[in-house]
Formats: sequence, structure tokens, C-alpha cells
Amino acid sequence: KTSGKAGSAAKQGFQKCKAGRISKPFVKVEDSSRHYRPISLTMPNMPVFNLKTLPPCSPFFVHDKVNPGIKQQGHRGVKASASEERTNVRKKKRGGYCECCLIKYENVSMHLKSERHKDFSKSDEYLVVDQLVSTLHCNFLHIKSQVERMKCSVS
Amino acid sequence: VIKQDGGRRKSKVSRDADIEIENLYKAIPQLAKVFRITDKIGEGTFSSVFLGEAQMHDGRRAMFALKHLIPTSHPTRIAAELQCLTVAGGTESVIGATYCFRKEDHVVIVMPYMEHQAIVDIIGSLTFEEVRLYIYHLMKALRHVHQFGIIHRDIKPNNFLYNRKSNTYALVDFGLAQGTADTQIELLKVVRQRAALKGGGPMGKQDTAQRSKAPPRPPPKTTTASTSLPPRPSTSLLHSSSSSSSSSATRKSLVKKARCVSTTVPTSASRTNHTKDLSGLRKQPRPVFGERNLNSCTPAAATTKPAAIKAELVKSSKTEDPANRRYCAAGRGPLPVRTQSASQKPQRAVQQGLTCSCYQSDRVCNICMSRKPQVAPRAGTPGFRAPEVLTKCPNQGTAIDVWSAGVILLSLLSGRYPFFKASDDLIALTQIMTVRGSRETIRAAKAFGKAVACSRELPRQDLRTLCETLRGRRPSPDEVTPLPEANRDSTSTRLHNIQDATPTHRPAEQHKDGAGENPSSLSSALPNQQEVRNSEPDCKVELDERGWDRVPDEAYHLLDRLLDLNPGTRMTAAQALQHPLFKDL
Ligand SMILES: Nc1ncnc2c1ncn2[C@@H]1O[C@H](COP(=O)(O)OP(=O)(O)O)[C@@H](O)[C@H]1O
Ligand SMILES: [Mg+2]
Ligand SMILES: [Mg+2]
Ligand SMILES: [Zn+2]
Ligand SMILES: [Zn+2]
Repeated sequence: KTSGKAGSAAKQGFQKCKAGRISKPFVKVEDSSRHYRPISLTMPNMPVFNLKTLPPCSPFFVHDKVNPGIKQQGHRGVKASASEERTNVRKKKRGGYCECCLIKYENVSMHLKSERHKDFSKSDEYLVVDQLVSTLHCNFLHIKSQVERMKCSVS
Repeated sequence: VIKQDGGRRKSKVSRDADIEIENLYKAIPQLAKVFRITDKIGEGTFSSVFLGEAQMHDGRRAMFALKHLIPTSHPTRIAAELQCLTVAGGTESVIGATYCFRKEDHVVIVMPYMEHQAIVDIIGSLTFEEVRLYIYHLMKALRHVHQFGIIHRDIKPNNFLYNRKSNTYALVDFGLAQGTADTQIELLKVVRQRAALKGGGPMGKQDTAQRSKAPPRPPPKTTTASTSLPPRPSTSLLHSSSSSSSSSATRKSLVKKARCVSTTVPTSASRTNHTKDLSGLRKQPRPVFGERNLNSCTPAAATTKPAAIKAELVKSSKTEDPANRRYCAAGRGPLPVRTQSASQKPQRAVQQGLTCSCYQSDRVCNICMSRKPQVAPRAGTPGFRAPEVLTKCPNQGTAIDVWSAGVILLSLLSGRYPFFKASDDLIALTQIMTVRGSRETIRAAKAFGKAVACSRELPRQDLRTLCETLRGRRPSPDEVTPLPEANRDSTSTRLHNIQDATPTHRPAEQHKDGAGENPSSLSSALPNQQEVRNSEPDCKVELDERGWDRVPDEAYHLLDRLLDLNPGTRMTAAQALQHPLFKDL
């Protein structure tokens, strides 16, 4: 068994290690205590500087097809930044892990509606936040939100 | 109201934003009484950030960034982020918190709005002077938060905002912050304790997000019995216990000592108990604050370990031949017992007896592969992770932020963003080795308790040559630069310098001066251009060059010191501010 990490690498064409000799080229990391499972990775394509890439994209050519990255980035417009793209990808999946309920969910809005989560959201676990907030001063004037928002959005 | 607002907008994207804004008003109705929320300005991994305008009691109107945290965030995490902002923020280019709204699981942190340009969008037009100032202010921000014992953990351009027009900067996003052993942020301490009680896994938020397709990691079975790396060891448990002459020693040497000692702490004991709490948590791919428990421990463990560990360290460094191995394993025997908490059982002893000869070889066997995986904090963004993070060093300190800042500097000097691009920690480590050298990495890793082997020798690059080439200031070969394939099995060069790992010794400073003194594959692969920096500056040219024709050696020297592979000798933010590159600032 290897870690999930190596597993994900395997999916992308890198080899996780099995018992035996590690095929080259590889990188292996072990804790010097030798109490832990070594981690290693065979990289059929060792990272190299790709000097054909143009600024501002990464000089590391990405070989795995899962992650075509580089080429697009070089051609991207001002607003469609790398960070934004990641965001969009994430939005589509929406799956994640709830730290409150300690469970994984497939769909965040569904999870937030679940009884378990709703119970948590009404619990006094949030007192730690409220306590902090109570030390802050609210210097905002109240506005009539609806009217105000319409007015401003027209102007 | 939504419809009207939406109709005004043209693109689908902004309509989406309007829907989100309306949902936010619904989630926390109080917001509508105070803010006119006009736009969505950011979406990080676990939040959406909106732009809001409010009228203050003194009558002035002001713009705010409203960070709506994903409601699946644990309240303690949220509170810790808020506390970092309120305690450390508001000065030294660290964003502050103005207020915070909550309704049930919806929390919005209100911060002063900082108009900014995304680095990725302006990296091609930055002047060298802008880069110098950006890094200077980043270092000021880091020194400041590090003084509070905050490890930011997610230093990257997206979290260090830059306003080009006003020359202002803001460190944002304490969502992944951790406390050092002696942190002044109460809630980072609380988190540590909670985590210690609950146990948990190694995954950080972003980490998990990234790997959501990957099979869940095997649940962690152990916790390390060590404190996190104290940036200010003078008050830390670790320090007070490991040094009797604490007050007289210099801070630097203490840091080094603490780092070196603590990073080689073997696990205290395998957490093989199956109490209800733990077994419940262990099924989870990412327990709350899981990774924080790694740096936490019972005070007893922290106070009893270091001396023993130091001895251990030297022994294990010498145990290359199998004959010594038994001794080494035996030497570890008492440690788990001594540091075990009540819930831990010495079941480890059985497994410890099983040694194999794979260590630092190109093999793995069933014995070493049956050991538990080591868990260590690794929250953050892949390309910015320090070597000690990538190699799962359980003790990580403020030095990880400095590394990330170094990656930013590398990025800005070379004009490449992101610089490192890796989907896997070991790929990321290899990319680091292609820049910093495999031998150098192996040597540094040894100092923090990790045996790294790379089947191929990767030469260290001269930083100036690398950056100038990537910037297009030096001709580049037509093809991908072939790195020399020495095919030397690096395991043959192992363990030549035990002093590296010994706190009282100053590790050999291999690359004290990073600028142009070593052979590198790039400089040998490329025609070596004549120096143009000292030629008479033509005003026009200078404008076009934006200062890139005269980057001083100090810039590359600083880069070299920030990207020190060994966290124990890596420059601190405070030291960086004293660097000659900033002497006029
Ligand atoms: N005070 C602020 N002013 C302006 N923009 C901000 C501010 N705070 C955050 N942002 C924007 O929102 C983005 C995400 O915010 P951040 O706090 O980093 O959230 P996350 O934890 O989700 O990454 C930032 O990268 C930045 O672009
Ligand atoms: Mg962020
Ligand atoms: Mg964050
Ligand atoms: Zn939940
Ligand atoms: Zn083995």
C-alpha cells in the first residue's frame, strides 16, 4: 500500500512504488527515524526546465494530460487568471469535507441543508466566534438597504 | 431587486455574482442594513469575497471586502482567522478586520477593501524596483505576523495584495494559519489543544480540495510527540527544556537548535488505540484541524523529549550498516514509553523490531511499506510548499512562510508565474531540486531528519542565469534543456556530514553566495552572455528594461537565502529586512 498521494500520482501516469526495486528515475523520502513508511515516486518524465515556454508561464513542462495547464496560461486574458480557472473547476465539483460535521459531502448546498449540519449551525460551537465579535466595535451606520441598493445600482 | 440588479449587468458572470450577493443578504440579513454589496471580488478556496460599501458613524463612506467563509468551516477555525486579523492585522501591511457578522453557520469577516492587481496579470510589466518593494513589504508583513507566533502557511501572490498606483500592500487570508509553540494568538493555541485531544489527519484544506479526486489517504495512526517549531524559542517549551542556558544564547542559534532537534523527533508512539473518539475521526479524510495535532503534544512530551532525541539523532545518523541498526532501534525503545499519553499503547515496539535494509536504498520491502505513513502539516498551495513540508517534516515553523516568499521572489525575478507547477509533492520536490540541486537538497533534508534519494543528479542552478534566461534576457536553446543525466544513484553519497544534523554545529554553508559562483547546467548549456548591467544606461532602454538590465547581485543573494533548503539556516523575515538589497529602505 502506498499513500493516497502516490495513488493520485499514479493516476497521472506516475508510478507509485511497490515492494522491490524502485524504477528509475525516482525520488524517495524517508524519515530518519525509520518509523514510517517511505514515500517514493517514479517519474517517467523528470521535471525539466522547458525554455521554450514563454513568460509568464511555468518553466516546468507538465507532461500529464490531466493537467495541460501551461499552454493555456500563456494565452489567457487579463481576467481569466490561473486562480480564476481553478475556482471554476472547483465550482463544478462542489464536493468537499465539512469540518463541522466531520463528513464528506458531494454537494455543498445539499449538505448545508442536512439535519446534522443545521443542528451544528445552531449549536453553541459558534460562541467562540461571537465572543470575539463582541470585542469589536461596529462603526457602520444603518442604511435602508432595499431602496439604497436600487438607487445606487441605477446610478 | 435581484432581477433589476441583474438586468443591469451584461455578462453571465456578473449575474452569477448578483445571485450570490442576494444569497449572502439572505444568509445574513444584517448585512443589508449596513452594506451595499456591489460585486464579487474574489473566490478563494474556502470563501467568497465581496465588495461592499458602507457609511460610517463619522459620515464617510468606505469600501470593504466581505469575506464569506464556506459554512462548512469549523467555528474555531473561523475564530482563529478572525483573531489573527484583529490581533496582528491593521498594520505593517497586514490586513485587519473591521467587523464580523454571523448568522448560524454563515460568517462574514469585514476588512478594509484593498484595491489591487493580480500579480499573474501584471508580472510581465513589473519593474525591478516594484519587485524589490513588494518583497520588502512582504518581509515586513511576515516579520510582523511571525512575531505573534503565526505561521501563515499560504504565502503566495494571491494572498499578498499589491496596489500598484498607491504602492500599498496587504497580507490577507489567515484561513490556514497555525500557531507556533509559543504563539500569542489564543485561538491558535486552543486549536492546538483541541486537535491534540481529537487526533486527526494530515490534510490541509487546499490540499484536500486538490486531491478530491484522489482516493482518501490512509488514516493517520500516529501523532508525533513534538512541539511545533518555535520561531521564538526563548519562551517555548521545547527550548526551555532543551537548553539550560537559554537566555545567553543567540536567537538564531536557538532557532537552529530547536529546529534541528525537534525535526528529528521520532514518533512517540503509534496511536494504535481505538478509543471511540479517535476511531470515529480516523474514518474521516480530513478531521477538523487534523494537521494541527501534529505540532501539538502533551506538555510532558515536549518537555521530556529533546535531550533524548538529540542522542537519538546522532545514533541514527550513524546507523548505516545493519549491525548498528539494532542498537538504534533499541535506543528508541524507551522513548515511546516516556512520552506516551494515557491513551497510547506501546504496540509500536513489535514493529520497531522489524528492520529492513531499504533505508536510503533504491528498494522498498514489505516491512518498510507496512509501516504507518508519517503525517505532517501540508496545508497550503503546492508550488509554494517548502522542502520540509513536501518531505512531511512534522515540525514546521515560520520558516515555511519565508520559503514561500522566496518562491514569490523567484517567480518575480524570472517573470514566471506560477514558477513551480506540480500535482504531487514529490514532483514539486524534484522541481525544487532542478533549481537548487539534488545533492544540496539531500544534504539539507538530512539536517531536518529526512533521507532523500534522487536517482538522478540534478545540478544546482545559478539563480541569475536561471532568472535571466527565463526572462528571455539570455538566449535559450531551441530545445528543452537536457539536464545532465549522471544516473548516479544518490544513495551512494549519503550521510557524509553528520554535523548537518547536529544543532551545535553550523551546517556547512554550501551556497552562501548564490550569485554566479557555481557551475550550472543552464549556464553551461547556454552561451554565456557578456555583462550588460554596467554599460552606460540609455534612458530609453532603461525605461523599456524596467530595471531588469541592472538587477543587483544582492537580489539573487537574497533569493538564495530565502530558498535555503534547510529551514534551520534559512533567513528569517527579520533578517531579510536587514539584507543589503533593502539598505536604503
Ligand atoms: N481586504 C481585501 N481587499 C481586497 N480584496 C481582497 C481582500 N481580502 C481578500 N481579497 C480578495 O479575495 C481573494 C480571496 O480572499 P482570501 O482571504 O485569500 O480567501 P481564501 O481563503 O478563500 O483564499 C484574495 O485573493 C483577494 O483577491
Ligand atoms: Mg487566499
Ligand atoms: Mg485561505
Ligand atoms: Zn456540516
Ligand atoms: Zn524495507
